[in-house]
Amino acid sequence: MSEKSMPHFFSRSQMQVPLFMGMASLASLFWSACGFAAQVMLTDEAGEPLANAVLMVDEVPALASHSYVMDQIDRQFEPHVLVVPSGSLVDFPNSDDVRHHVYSFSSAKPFELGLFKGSDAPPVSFERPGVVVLGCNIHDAMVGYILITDSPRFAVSDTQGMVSLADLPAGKWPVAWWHPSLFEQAPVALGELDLSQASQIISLPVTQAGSVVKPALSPLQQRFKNATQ
Amino acid sequence: MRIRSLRTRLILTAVGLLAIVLGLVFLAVYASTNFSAQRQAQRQLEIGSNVFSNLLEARARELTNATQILVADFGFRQAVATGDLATIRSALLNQVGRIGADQALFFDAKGVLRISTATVAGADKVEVQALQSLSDQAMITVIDNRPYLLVEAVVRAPVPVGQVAMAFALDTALANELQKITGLEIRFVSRRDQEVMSAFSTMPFAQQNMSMQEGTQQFADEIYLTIPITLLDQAPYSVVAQLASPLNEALASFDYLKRELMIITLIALLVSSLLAVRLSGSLARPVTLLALAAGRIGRGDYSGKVALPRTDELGMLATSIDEMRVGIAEREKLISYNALHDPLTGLPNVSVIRERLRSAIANAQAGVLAQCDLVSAELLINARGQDFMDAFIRQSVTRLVDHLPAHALLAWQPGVGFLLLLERGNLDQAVVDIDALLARLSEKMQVDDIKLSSQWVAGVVEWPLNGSDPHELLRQASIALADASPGADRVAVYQAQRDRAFQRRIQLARDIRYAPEYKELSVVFQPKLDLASGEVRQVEALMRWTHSELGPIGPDEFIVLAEQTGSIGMLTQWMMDAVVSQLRDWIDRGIGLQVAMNISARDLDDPLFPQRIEGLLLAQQISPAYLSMEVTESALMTDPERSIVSLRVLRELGIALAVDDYGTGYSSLAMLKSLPVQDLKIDKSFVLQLAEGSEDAVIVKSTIELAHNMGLKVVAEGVENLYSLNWLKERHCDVAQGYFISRPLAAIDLEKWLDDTRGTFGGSEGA
Repeated sequence: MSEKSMPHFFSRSQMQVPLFMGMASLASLFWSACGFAAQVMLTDEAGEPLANAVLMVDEVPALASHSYVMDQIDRQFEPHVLVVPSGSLVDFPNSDDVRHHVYSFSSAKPFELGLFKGSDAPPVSFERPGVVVLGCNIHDAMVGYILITDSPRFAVSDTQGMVSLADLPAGKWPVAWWHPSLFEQAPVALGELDLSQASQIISLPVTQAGSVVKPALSPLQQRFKNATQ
Repeated sequence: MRIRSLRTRLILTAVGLLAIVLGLVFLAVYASTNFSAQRQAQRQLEIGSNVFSNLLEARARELTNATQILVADFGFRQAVATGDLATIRSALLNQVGRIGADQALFFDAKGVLRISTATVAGADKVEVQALQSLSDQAMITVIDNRPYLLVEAVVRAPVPVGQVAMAFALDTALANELQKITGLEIRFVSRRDQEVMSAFSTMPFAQQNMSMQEGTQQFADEIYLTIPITLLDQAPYSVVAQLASPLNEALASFDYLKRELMIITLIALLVSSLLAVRLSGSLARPVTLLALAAGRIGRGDYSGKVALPRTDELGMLATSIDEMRVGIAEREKLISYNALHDPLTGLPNVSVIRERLRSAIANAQAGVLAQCDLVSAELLINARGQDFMDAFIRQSVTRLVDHLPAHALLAWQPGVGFLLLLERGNLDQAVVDIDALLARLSEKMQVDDIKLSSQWVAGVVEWPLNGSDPHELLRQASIALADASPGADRVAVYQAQRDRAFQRRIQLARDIRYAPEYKELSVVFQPKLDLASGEVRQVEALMRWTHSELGPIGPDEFIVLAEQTGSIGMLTQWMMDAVVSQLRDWIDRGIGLQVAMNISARDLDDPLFPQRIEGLLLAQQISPAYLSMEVTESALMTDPERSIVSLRVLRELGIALAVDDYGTGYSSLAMLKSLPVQDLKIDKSFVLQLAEGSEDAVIVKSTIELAHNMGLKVVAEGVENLYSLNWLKERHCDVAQGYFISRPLAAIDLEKWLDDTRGTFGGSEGA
């Protein structure tokens, strides 16, 4: 496990991720050769809908760039996962009535926004692709992710695991995915996929935190126990 | 050992009881304090072990908080997030120093140990051998064979990027710190497969070998109550905290109490002993006094008054003893008075005489002892009664007491008479004085309206001439008295040879009872001559006693003795048997003789006497006409009324009766008239000297005439010469008896004499 969990940032060629793809029988009914809105459902290993998962499609025309916002509402980063193209500026407005101290020690873009309120904080520019884990120095529970990608098209799954990609050219395109469980690892390639088929479901090798029983042992104990067994 | 003294026993009992009670109290307190101490120690141990656990947890919380602060530090998080190990190590060392941990460990996000502050940078190779949760936040671990309290904190940036653990050694310093709070001795022992890897203790080294078991353990002077708390048990590793409560400490808190109790016990014992000694003294002392007083009374000392100045039972006892003392003294005085005095006369008795004699002789004095007695006192008593006699004696005493010679002691002993002890003077003077006293006594005296004259005699003995033993002297006086007779010889002086006669009498009186048994008795017959016919038709049977030593004893001697000593009845019986069997023999052989035998007053007193004679005569088929009986005049006059009754019975049987020894008594012929007698035998003292014109002759002559007038035949005894025989024949005396006719003869001689003398004496016709 320790070998498997060794970090290999952005070495896409070495990815050996098992791919699961299922086709629904009705997918062909919605197929279109000149642009279509792809609707894909992402699930975890257990087949449960997987939220906050990111699907990226390469080698397709990019959509027009726009401004990106990582809001903070009710002491949570909103959205939990934000995907931005490389070189984007992201605003960090504070919607709460308390101050936040947003920071990231991620190598993709370490930064620190000292205590601020409202829209006091300046936008942060994320030039390099990678994963930036966001935290608030005074609210340990606040965790947010910004995925910086060079892929032209990308989308984040909603709470039902649904991903929508509009105006996607028909055909097969290289597809990759990312989920916060991958932590700072680079997105994982799924190969070339035709996403135009209706009611596609893609199962990702993710174990959702909520579905796993938290061990009673402390992390250190758990580790010690695992090590001695 | 027997305890004799009442006092000692009282003391021992009281003090012993108290000692037992106090001992039990002491033991009970001792046991309960020991139990209490143990309980206290146990409680302390339980509380201590709770406190211990709480302390460990509190310590862990404290450390956790400190560690949480570290991992929350932005800079530290940055260092961790950026993998700046050097910075992390320095921060950890800084924190270790700040919170007093022994070492800090850092694990990366994958749980790999990256930093250990116990080793130098780059050689972070410590081995975590065992790990076990102690509480929510704390763990016990064994690192490099040493036990630690471990707390951890996850470093989040904001996701977990690493973990920091702070280790605090379970060592002596911690143990000491915990001991200060819990008050218990604490020992941390780490073992691997039962082998002790490390041990840290608050206790001296010697006590580190303590067993891990729960319970009481002793080391040298210290007793510990121990309890093990297992902090970690992960085979093969174990970490145990052993808590020990020193029992001595708990016990020591009771030492003061025990010491106090001991002192109180000793004081109580001492005080109670003193009280017991005092109390028993107050009991035993008066008891001892009373015992001594009782002892004095027992020895006859009645002088000291017995009293105790107290009102309790002992006081009452003393009063009772004193009353007893007075009572005994009075009674003893009375008893000794009675012992020495005669109740009738109030005079001293013979004991006093004996005592005075003894002391006088011991003092080499000389004097005279006299015994005085009333002549025929028995007659007086029989005639007037004992009360009269007593009054007579009392009056006689009053007559004497004022006329006693100087140095005289007068005593009265019942059955003996007056005893007079003269302690001075010679015999002649004494005889004169005593004779004067007897004369005074013999004067006529008025007693209960009766005037009577009495005759007194006295026996006198000189002492110490005749002996120095009071008993012997009294006996000699008595012997002398027996020799005295009314008249000129009323005072008899003891003479040694007279004593031999007395001894002879004693011997005879004793031996006569055995005479029939030894066949020393015999019968002789004296013929009675019928003066009118000149024939012998009657004989008087007379008893003879031939003593085996003393030879023939005269009837005058032994008959009197037999009458005095009560043997006469037995002699009469023997005589009757002999006479009746002789009669039988004579009748069988055709010899017709009437045999007269003498009977005494005692025989007349015996109501069965006539029946016995009758039975005897019937048995031998002999007519009562062959038997006659002679009763002396004095015997008849002893109790004339009874004599008459008995004589009538005999007479009715057909037995002829005669009054014997007539003239020696006081009876009158008129009195004889009322008696059923046929013959009157004139006493031989009148017949022996019948000279013409003599007084005796006048008496005999008138007696014969008067008897004949009353129809009585007259028998004259003591006829010893022809003159008397003729004289009697001329005066018409009926029968003569005496040596002139024949002395008494044995039966066979009598028969021969009868044959030889037939017709010799002739009848009155022939005279």
